Amino acid sequence: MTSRTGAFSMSQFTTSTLVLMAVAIAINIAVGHTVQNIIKLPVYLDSIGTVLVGALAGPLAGAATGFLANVIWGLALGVPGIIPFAITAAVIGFLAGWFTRRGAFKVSGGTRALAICALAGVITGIIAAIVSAPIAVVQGGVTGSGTDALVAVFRNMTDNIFLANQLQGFVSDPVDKLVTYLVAFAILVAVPVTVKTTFPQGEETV
Amino acid sequence: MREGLGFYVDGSGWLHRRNPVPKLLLLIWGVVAPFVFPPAYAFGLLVLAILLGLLAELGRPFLRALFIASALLTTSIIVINGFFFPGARDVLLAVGPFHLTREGLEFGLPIAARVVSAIALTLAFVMSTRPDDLMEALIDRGASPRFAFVVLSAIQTIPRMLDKASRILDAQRSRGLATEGRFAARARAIVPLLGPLVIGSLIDVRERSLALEARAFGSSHQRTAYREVPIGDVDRRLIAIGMLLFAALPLVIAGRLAGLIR
Repeated sequence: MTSRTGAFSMSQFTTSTLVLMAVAIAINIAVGHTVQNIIKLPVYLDSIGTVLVGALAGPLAGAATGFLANVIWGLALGVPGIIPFAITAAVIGFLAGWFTRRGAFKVSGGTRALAICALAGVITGIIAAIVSAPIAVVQGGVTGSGTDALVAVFRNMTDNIFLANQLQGFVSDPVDKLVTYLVAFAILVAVPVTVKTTFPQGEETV
Repeated sequence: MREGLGFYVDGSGWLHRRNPVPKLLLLIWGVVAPFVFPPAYAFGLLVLAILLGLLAELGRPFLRALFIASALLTTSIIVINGFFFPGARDVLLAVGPFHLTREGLEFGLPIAARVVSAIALTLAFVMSTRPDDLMEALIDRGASPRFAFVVLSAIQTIPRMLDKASRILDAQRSRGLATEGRFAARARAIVPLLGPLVIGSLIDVRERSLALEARAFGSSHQRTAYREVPIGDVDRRLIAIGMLLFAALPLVIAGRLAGLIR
């Protein structure tokens, strides 16, 4: 499993990857739910599992995890409003795999690796915001979560509904993805090397 | 939520007896259609969606779940659009510095109807369909069993993972971790939660994939199914109806562009 394969190679989907994907989907939902509703922090933190799969298994596996996580979350918990955001989640998973191949989770890389990781998190957040805004507008520009207050603020500043959602995304998403990437980095520091190398792209996170 | 069954409730109603594939097809149509038809149609589709849930003998639990799932989102859609609609002039009601506008409501109400009808249809689907039946039926229609494994395994893991998260939080609280109060204190609670939850789960993944491999999970041989999901004449007819309904959507779009449907 040491040889590196293309970002779109189906060889990312080994048995261990599939088991990891299922666990990651549950991690997204459990962590997202706990952080938003029990600890009540103003971040989503619902893509930690997706980012971990992207990092350990590869871009395509990350994208599939993000996509499925949102669809299952919507169906299993009865909130179909988040299903369209499966597109955003897939992009996040793909980017996590892509950035990992460029050293974002090279945990032996010290400060430099941490800086790449932080930058990758912020870029992912900006791209996620760009992808999400049109989806949010179709649903009236709201999600039923705390970020709706921000939408209201920006609507007072601009005449453009789309722009208001875009600005809200640019405030919320980079912070959220930066925290997500740093948390994923910390987790990958703590996970034993023998476990990480079980996965197709695990070498990149050693 | 019961282990691995999500929102499913036992029953023998008309919708329960249908094969999951036509139900899924019609669900997707029902969620997409309100966004394709003009805004005013959304209210009619909403009434149909709620009637469907009641005709399917889903009763009170259906209405309760629908209310819980849609109350917050609907309020948010109506408040944000009603009071904060850019460029709106026709003020219906003034609450302090905020103005409820007609333009805002005209924009917000149909969207709320669309979203609630999507929630109603989704609930009718998940309450009448066992996830394992859905996956088995999809495999019968050519879906990958490995894909089905990921979905079912995830659905089974979610309640356990939520349970594990709350147990870890309780354990850390008993050691003095603050999960309430100041923002900085709550933010620090993330690490003692995520550490045990995520790292432990990642280590389990290795054990589980070895166990699966030992049971020929990666085998390329033809599989046989433990559960069989029947597909009847009514189901086949519903699939045909679903296909026709999908074929009608481009016509509706064309009609709207040509100004025939308003």
